[in-house]
Amino acid sequence: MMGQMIVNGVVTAALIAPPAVAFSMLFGILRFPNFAIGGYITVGVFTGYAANVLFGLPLWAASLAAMLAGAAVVWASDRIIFRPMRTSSPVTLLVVSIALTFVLEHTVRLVFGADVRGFDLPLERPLVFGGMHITRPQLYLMGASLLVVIVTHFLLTRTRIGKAMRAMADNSQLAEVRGIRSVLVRVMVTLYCGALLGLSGVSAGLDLVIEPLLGWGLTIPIIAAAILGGIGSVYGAMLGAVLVGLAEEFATLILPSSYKIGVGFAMITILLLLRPYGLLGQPEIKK
Amino acid sequence: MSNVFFRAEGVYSGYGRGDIVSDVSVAVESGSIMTIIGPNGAGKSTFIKTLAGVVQRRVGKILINGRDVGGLPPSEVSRHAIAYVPQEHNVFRSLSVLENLEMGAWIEPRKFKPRLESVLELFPALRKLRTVRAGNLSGGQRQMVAFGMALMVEPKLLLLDEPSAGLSPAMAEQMFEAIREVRERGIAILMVEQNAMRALQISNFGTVMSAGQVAMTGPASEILSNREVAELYLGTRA
Amino acid sequence: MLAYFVAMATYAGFFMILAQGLNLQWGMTGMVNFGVAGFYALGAYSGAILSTRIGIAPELAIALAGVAAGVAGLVVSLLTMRLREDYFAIVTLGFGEIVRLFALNEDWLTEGPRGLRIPARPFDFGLSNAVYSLVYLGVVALVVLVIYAICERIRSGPYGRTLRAIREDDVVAGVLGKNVLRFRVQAFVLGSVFMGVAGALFAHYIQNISPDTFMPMIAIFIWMSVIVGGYGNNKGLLLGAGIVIFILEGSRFLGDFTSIVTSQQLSSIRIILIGIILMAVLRFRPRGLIPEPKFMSEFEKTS
Repeated sequence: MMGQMIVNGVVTAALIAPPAVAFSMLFGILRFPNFAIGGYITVGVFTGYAANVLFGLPLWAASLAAMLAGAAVVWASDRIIFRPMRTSSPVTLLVVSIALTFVLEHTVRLVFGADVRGFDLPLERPLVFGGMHITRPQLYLMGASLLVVIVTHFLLTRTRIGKAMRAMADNSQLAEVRGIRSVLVRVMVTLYCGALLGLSGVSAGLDLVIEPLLGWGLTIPIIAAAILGGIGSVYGAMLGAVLVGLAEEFATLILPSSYKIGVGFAMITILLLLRPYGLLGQPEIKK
Repeated sequence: MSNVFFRAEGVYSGYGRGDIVSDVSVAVESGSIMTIIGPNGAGKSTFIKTLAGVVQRRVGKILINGRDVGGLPPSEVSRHAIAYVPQEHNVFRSLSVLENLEMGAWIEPRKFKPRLESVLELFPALRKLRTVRAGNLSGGQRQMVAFGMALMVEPKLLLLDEPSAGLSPAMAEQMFEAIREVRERGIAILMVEQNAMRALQISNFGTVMSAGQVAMTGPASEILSNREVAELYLGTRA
Repeated sequence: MLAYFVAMATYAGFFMILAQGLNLQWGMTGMVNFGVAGFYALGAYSGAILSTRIGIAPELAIALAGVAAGVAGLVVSLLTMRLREDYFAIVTLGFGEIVRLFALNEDWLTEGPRGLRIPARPFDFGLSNAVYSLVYLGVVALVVLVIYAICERIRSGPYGRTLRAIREDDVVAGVLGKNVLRFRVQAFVLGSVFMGVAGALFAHYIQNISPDTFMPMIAIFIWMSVIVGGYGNNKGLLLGAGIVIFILEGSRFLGDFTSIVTSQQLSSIRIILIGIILMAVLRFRPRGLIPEPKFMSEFEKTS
């Protein structure tokens, strides 16, 4: 029982860690909480679905297609909407990003309808390890998540562009003064985060069911994880994902499981009450 | 003033509606130190930010070797051998010292290794701190990182905004020592400094700014010996 | 056709009340409430439960629903008032979702997803349905006007100036010696009361509510009303709410059009349209179609 809950919690953590990382990285560069992640995830999962089910591609190729679509849509939304509006207040951008989520999700719904779907996978029993059940798709998604964590760590600490991403998120004016072109970094971050969100869509489709509101349903736990870890902190987002995943699972001991989504909220509310700027955040200086 | 390579001509700039800097011109000879002094609010810091491209110039030219870099964003200005060290928030706090210096060499990554050596020679204290996050350094160490980052591109002109601000007297003295040594390496320096007396003593030239304009300019020794300047900005001794 | 216009105008009235509540919170004090749907739902459910399960007169139930939403607003605002505005947005959004989850899961009280039926008819004097719907519209319009008068009074008085000073810069307002926290809590509570009343009026009008009615999408519609109208501007947001309802409901006039697209596709198209208009307004006319009367000038130079 306990072991199964930990397994489920870890699966949830593996599902929300990559998009939480993407959300945090986007925040570092865009400087506002981009709620459109839900819309990006939905675009990703339906691209994966189309590639896998409609065109009969294997899951790995469908994942790749989802990553490309995610990268394209995040880049395009930044290019068309957020970059021209970069001098607007974070709240204005927040509203725009929520509107964008609905536009993306309903565009998908317009094309695919609201029916519940699934990937084309052979039906099989869950694997059993010492009494704990886990399905093969869940193993895939955990593998993908682990890969994302490793690749992101490598990108941010070993590559020049990754270090520039951290530098830009840390102090964008100084980065410009040192010759780093902000547009270049911005484009790279949106492409990378878009790919992560597209992949997250496929992972979500493996673990849950595929429908247009899939992304919106995940938005809350993802943002909760990112805030718990200190918004903008990539490693914090990974830690936050584990906390949210386990907390959602263990909360079912005292709450009906339908309240799961509220758990993330309760956690961030309590955290923000204790530390109004997040676990690792700093008070913002008003101009 | 024979070998002037950098020249600002009739520069106006500011934030919002008014001009904070109006019609300021300076010229810097290669391999020399020019210090801008003046009371608080004289526009010194805005002027140096304008030269770096951080604040946009409204009117005027900013010429390096005859090329006008006025109007370029800071990332492009830095590609014209001009390196600027801001007064505050001048290191990447979440990056290690080594990563900071690597970002300093962003535009010339191939030259990272040899330049790193020369910066560590100038600031040997940084050698042991390479893996420490810049946010965990003391104020003096941080200033060295900021300074070192700017030197990673071997600029022709180094723009320093209050390099000794907030440092202990001993630490400030070390910074002035480093500035002198940098000049010996053939890099010209244009700095804004509150500690006017000490800065002018190591400078070749000085400019006094007041209310957004140039009040006086000339060899540092002349500025130092000017009675009016002495009374106003240097503390009474002339 | 007339019946349809009356229904549309009534819906517009609910949105106008919600928009006025949000304008008080966000437009005038800068508190980013994304939980509009939550306060609306809370008002709807508490009003409905009071009048159907407890048997209170529906008119009184509607007023008490306002009180219930106000109390919730008090708790939420006291808990979160110190937060940075984007965190405030996230927490209020969470409040909205939690209210919806509660309505969905506690079906002993709310009938859950089956929906709660509300047979009680307020302001009913044995009228025919057609006349009753006109009376109801009149009541809603009256509430809109009363709230409008209150909001206008607040806006033009010294209280309104303080609220806007808080919005522009709470540090400055704090230095001016105003009790920022108290003002913000008061504005938030009053806005919540309005939303609660709107919810209860809606519940007794539609006579059947379910959690699906209160999706967070509502928040976007109301935000759109305030933004399109020009935030801080009471007249503009009435227009904004009218435009939103027109886009949402007016497309029904394209009756024949629905043979090409299904009603579900049509609802998606409406939401896409609303989203695009909202983004376009924020990008190209960030102060809305009818900007707030000039107040900013003395603050503009600070940034």
